[in-house]
Amino acid sequence: MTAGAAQTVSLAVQVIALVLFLGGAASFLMLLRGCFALRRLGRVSSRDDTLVLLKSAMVPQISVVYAAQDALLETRKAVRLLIDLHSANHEVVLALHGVTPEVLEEWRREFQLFETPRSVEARGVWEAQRPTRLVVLDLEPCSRAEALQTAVRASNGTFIGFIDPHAELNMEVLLRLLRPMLEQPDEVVACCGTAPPVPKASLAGRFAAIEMLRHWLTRGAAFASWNMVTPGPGWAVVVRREPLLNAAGAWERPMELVLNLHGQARTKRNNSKVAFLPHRVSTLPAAGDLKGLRELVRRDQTSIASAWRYAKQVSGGRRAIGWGLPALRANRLWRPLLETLGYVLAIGGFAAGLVGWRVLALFLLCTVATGMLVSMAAVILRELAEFQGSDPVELAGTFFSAIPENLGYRQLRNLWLIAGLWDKGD
Amino acid sequence: MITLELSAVSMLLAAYALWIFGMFIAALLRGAATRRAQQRAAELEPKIREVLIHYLAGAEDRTEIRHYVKESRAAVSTVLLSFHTTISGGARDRLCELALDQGLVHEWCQQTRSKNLAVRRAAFVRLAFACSYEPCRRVGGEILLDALNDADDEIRLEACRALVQAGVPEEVESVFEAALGSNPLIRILLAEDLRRHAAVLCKRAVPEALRAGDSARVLAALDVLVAWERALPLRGLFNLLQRDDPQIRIQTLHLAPLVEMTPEDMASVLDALADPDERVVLAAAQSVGRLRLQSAMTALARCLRTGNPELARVSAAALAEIPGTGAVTLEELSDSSNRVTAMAAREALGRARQRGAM
Repeated sequence: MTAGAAQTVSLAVQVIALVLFLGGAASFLMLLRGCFALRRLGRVSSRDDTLVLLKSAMVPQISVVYAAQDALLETRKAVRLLIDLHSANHEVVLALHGVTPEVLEEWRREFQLFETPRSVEARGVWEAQRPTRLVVLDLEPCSRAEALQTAVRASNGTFIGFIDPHAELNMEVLLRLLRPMLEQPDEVVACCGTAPPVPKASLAGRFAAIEMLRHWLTRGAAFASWNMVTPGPGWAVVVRREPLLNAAGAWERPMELVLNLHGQARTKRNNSKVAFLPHRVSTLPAAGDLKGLRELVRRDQTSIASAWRYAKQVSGGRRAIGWGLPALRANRLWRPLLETLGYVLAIGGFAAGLVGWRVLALFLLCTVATGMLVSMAAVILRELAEFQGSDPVELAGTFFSAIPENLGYRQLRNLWLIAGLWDKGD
Repeated sequence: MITLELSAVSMLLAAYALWIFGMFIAALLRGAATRRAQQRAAELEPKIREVLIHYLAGAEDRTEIRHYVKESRAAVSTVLLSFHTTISGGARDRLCELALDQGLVHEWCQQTRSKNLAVRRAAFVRLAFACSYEPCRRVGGEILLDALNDADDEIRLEACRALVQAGVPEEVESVFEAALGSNPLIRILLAEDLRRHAAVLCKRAVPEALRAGDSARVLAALDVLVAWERALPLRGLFNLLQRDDPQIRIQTLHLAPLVEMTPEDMASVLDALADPDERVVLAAAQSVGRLRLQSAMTALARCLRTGNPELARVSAAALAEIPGTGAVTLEELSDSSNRVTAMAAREALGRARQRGAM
């Protein structure tokens, strides 16, 4: 009985180890692909034309949409930030869903709003005096998704911007995202932009930097090279308005929206694509402690879970970006589950004498050691992708933090990832 | 079996680790080299800048400049180019003459043949800067003309900009032609450079482009003209209001306040207020507002009463622009039983009062 159990446990650990090893190899190949994609993107354009774009009357209008349910100082600041973004021609469409007359009055006072007629279903539409380009929609109580969709319908822009005002923003984000769409007007229907933030000096800060680096190289650059890029939390997105109006279902996050565009393109077999801008135009603030790291993981996991649920409604379903979404799901759910199960079996089995040291070593090599090398590869491949070298001290700090990252934090993160998939929202 | 698995995985990981550590050392060395170069540039460039400012101010001694050119040609080239947006005329010629004298222009010409795209692009940017000076153009002019057919968009753009700077009318016209056939980004960038040659272009190139049968080309030309946002010596523009493409009609109307208009042209703009395409009517309403056409009052008041919210807003705003009678009409319409009409009229009145126009 014991011998049979030992053999079964040992075999299970070996199978799990090898599956995880193959997963690690796939991650490395994705990182490599991302690195080459970034080098290609870097060669495409080196110019900074924002100054010209800023003053040209030929730049099409962008409507930045935002939904809120209050008039808190923080929300008003966020809207001000969106209004202040540098662009030749942009408006902010704020959808207030289910607010009280007092809240609306607060907004009216703050921005000196005039009631204005617009072809949109709303309790009222208000507009600020120029040069402030703000349209406020007073909507009946509804979901955030519905509020955003009404904002898109009420907007005047040829392009729609989804900008997270809580992210660290480059004020020229709209112009930077618009550039690829002006370069290839018949192909590019949306452009997503982000880059990892400057890491905090703490160990947790470096873990966060590696995590964001991996996302940037794989879900950003590598996915973009297959035309599968889907934005994560903190990314900035600009989309053409027309395909957006045809988007199915109640999308709430940019990731769902872009998934929808990919689905439309694949179903219609047209050559439209979503571009990726690998620059620091919008990024989540760098986490500096474990709490910040956990929030980072949670937000990302929630957006993936939400996109997975939403994908059923879009053309192409969960294959809207080919193997991309299932792979993302596998990496964010099945891998941590399998790995956690593997730790239990390997370490528990070893303690109970069911698993030999060789099997335990194999398992640790396939998880911890592979994880370290994948994280180190991410740091190095970023160096290869960028045409200028980083500060050696900073580089070494991030490179070697891949060791402690996989000795404790990786295992904790697996638990966060598993829990995060059942988390319903921000 | 487990021994074999363990050995295979260990071997693979060892090879992988070896590669990663090798790359890490290479990255460290590159990072250190970059930092050194940056530090050196940070030390050198302010000094070069100071010497060049002295030179621009009239100092004739080039000994120091020659010293810096010997020390770092790249740094001198970078600093020279940093004056791109700040100087023009004689000062710019003086700087270009210096670049030619120090052999920098010849070096940039050589770099345009580099296999490294970044080096080529930088060389064309520098050459474009220098070629505003005729002797430099004699050295690099042919290269720039050839670059108009380069496979790289950025190099083509720089070549176009250099030719625009030179200001030879035929070359400016060919750049305008090139802009019409380019993607919107290149068109936007070139439109800025072409603005100061608007008068020259309006003599021949623009009328020819507007007479073209290809709607995309006509629309591109109109986009550029609207983007110039300046008065244009153009006639016969309003024939375009007869074209089938509504976008052409819209852009023509946007251009109306910027060109000379005969009474017939004004009548055409007023007729556009009854265009079957709603977007054209919106553009027409905006134009008559900017033109402050008294004769448009009735038509605008009619548009305001259609019940279409967008048209009502734009028409009310246009009425608010018409001095005197516009405000009176808006006052009357603000009591209209039509909610959209009344709201649009009140909004336009409120805005006008707030900015003190009434």
